[in-house]
Amino acid sequence: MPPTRSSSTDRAGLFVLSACLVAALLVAFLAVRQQTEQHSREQFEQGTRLVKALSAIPLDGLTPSSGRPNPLAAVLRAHGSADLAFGLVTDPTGRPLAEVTAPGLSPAVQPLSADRPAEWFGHGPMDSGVAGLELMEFHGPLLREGRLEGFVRIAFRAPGMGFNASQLPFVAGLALPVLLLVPLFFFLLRSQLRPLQALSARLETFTTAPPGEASARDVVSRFALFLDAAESRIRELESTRNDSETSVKLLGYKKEKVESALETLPEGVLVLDEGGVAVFANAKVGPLLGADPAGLLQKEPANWAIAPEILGVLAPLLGSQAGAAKHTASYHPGADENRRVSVWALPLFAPRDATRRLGTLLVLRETTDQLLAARARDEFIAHVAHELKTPLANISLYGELLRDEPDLPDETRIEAVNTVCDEAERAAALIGNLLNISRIEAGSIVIERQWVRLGDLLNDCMEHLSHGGRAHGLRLRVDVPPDLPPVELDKDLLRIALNNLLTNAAKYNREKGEVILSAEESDERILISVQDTGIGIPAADLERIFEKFYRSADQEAVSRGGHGLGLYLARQIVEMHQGQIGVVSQPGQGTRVTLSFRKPHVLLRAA
Amino acid sequence: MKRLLVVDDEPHVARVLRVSLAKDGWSVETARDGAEALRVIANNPPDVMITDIQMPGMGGEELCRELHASLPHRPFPILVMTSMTARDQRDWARDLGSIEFLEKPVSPRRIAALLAQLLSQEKHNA
Repeated sequence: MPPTRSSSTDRAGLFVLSACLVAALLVAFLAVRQQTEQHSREQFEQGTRLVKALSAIPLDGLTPSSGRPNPLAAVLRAHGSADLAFGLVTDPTGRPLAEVTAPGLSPAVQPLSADRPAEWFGHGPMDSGVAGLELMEFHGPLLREGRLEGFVRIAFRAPGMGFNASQLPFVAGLALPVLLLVPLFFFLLRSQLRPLQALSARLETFTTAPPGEASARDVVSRFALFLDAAESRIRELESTRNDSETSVKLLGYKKEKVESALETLPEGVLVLDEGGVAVFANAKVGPLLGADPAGLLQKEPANWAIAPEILGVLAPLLGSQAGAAKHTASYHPGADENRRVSVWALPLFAPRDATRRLGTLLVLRETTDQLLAARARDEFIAHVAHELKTPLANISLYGELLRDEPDLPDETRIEAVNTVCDEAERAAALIGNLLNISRIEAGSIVIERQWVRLGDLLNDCMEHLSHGGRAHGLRLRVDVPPDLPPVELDKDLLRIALNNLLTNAAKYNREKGEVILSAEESDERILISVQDTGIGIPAADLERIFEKFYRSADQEAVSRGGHGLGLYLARQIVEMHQGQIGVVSQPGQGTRVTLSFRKPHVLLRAA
Repeated sequence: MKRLLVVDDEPHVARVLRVSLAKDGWSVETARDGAEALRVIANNPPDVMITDIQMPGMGGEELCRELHASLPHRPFPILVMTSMTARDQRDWARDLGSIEFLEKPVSPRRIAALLAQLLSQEKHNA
């Protein structure tokens, strides 16, 4: 029942207000009384002093004489007290010699006894002859040479307790702040109390039992119930708060986790909101985009999409007719034709609502490797085609000659047949390398070790080279120590590797140069070297010559043909043996390729 | 004797043509690259030149440019051997006065026919 409660509060407020008013009046009353007492004391001192001063004046000085105004009046006027109401000079018998009286007053003067000097000085109340006005009278003797000549008597208006208009500002000043502050506090208190009132009302509803006798015990038990309910409610609220705090922490943690996962991705990831403004970018975005990832946040793509391809990919997604289709493109960052970045733009949908767009995901991936690989592959195919076409063209050329010219001299015919054979072998070697590489890369060649006498193997390989046309005019040497122990290797694979190295050594050699195939052993390793006296390899190419399809751009090397597979295949084969392949080269002087294999006991120890 | 200059880093085409064109009254000279070809031409211009494109040193394209610059009124027919059928190759070759392309692998029989045709044209023109 809040209205009743509210009005009772109002009543209480009214009571407080009245009490405060009374208190204020009391304070004013006490203040006024204190002031009156003060005034009385001052009057007393003033009167005593004045009477003493007057009694020192000879009687003649106080009585009027002809041609002189009443001197008493002058004296009293000179004193200047508004309260001084009456002055009288008498002879010792009490006969008035001079008198001054404030208008409207008729004081009743009691005669003083000349016989009792102890009473000559004194003071006492005096009837003013006006109702409600008290006078305080002071009197003293007038003496001449120790003889009493008369008395001087003065009277002050006694300060009354009645309302004094002159004191109004003081009282008002005292009471007004109190009177103003009290209602202010009251209303302030009331507004503060309102929620408490509501609580109290609810408390009452809660604790009010069905109508009946409400004993003190009932009230206590209801209150206890209320406290229980309140406590459980508080606990509920506390646990809700804890839950929400935990979920906030969990969300923060999840967000961090997602962000750190996005940071570790090899791709650049950029998230745009529905409006196309960048809201997240991982660090990889920077180099791929050529822009500072932090600098593009909160900005639209036009501000950071340096490559027009990105805007092209985003355009269909940022439009109103956004579909779920994937949009992809690629561009050269920094207009560098040798780098390529592929970009995918995907619409982001709410996890459980595929109609609600959350924004756009932009994924950037460096595809320079694929670009270079594709270029290398294209070049390789063109090169292989050329390399295959050349021997075939020669075979065709000589074949036609043999067919159309039945009367060829013998030596021409032999040369033609040899050339056809050589060129067929050249084509076959290229095809063989291609097949071996594809089989090794596919893992279909398994290494089969057997004990090999390196002297025999190396001599075989060199003999194979000498039969081919390439070795014409070159000095070929095999250098193997006679006591070299057998080595466990895959003979067929090693022969392929060595044939490739020897072919290179002959192909890139100078005229009448030399090819040396040698083997030696150290404590732990067997080393096989192929050394030539050819054009050498430029330092810039040394690191890459074992890469698949890699061809030196050196004009001299280019002119001698080659398909960028021989050294790659040799490395593959050596690595299948857990060996190493290395090269040292001096342009214009020659090249030495060394294969290094660990000896079996070393392998065993390592295992 | 008509003189044919074969410019090729590989010896095979020249070798075969020397044998197969001999009975038609052609003598075949060879140059291994463009620079050597220019020396031969300066010394004694051939009646017909056949050149490869890819050669170490001066290639076929550069050779043709040099000849076009020094001899604007082509004094002898040029045949270009190419394994590439790209259009741009044909464009420069035609601009520089080559009259025919020989797709690799070249056929001696076809070259003989082509040369006979060229000779009869020249006779007709003369």
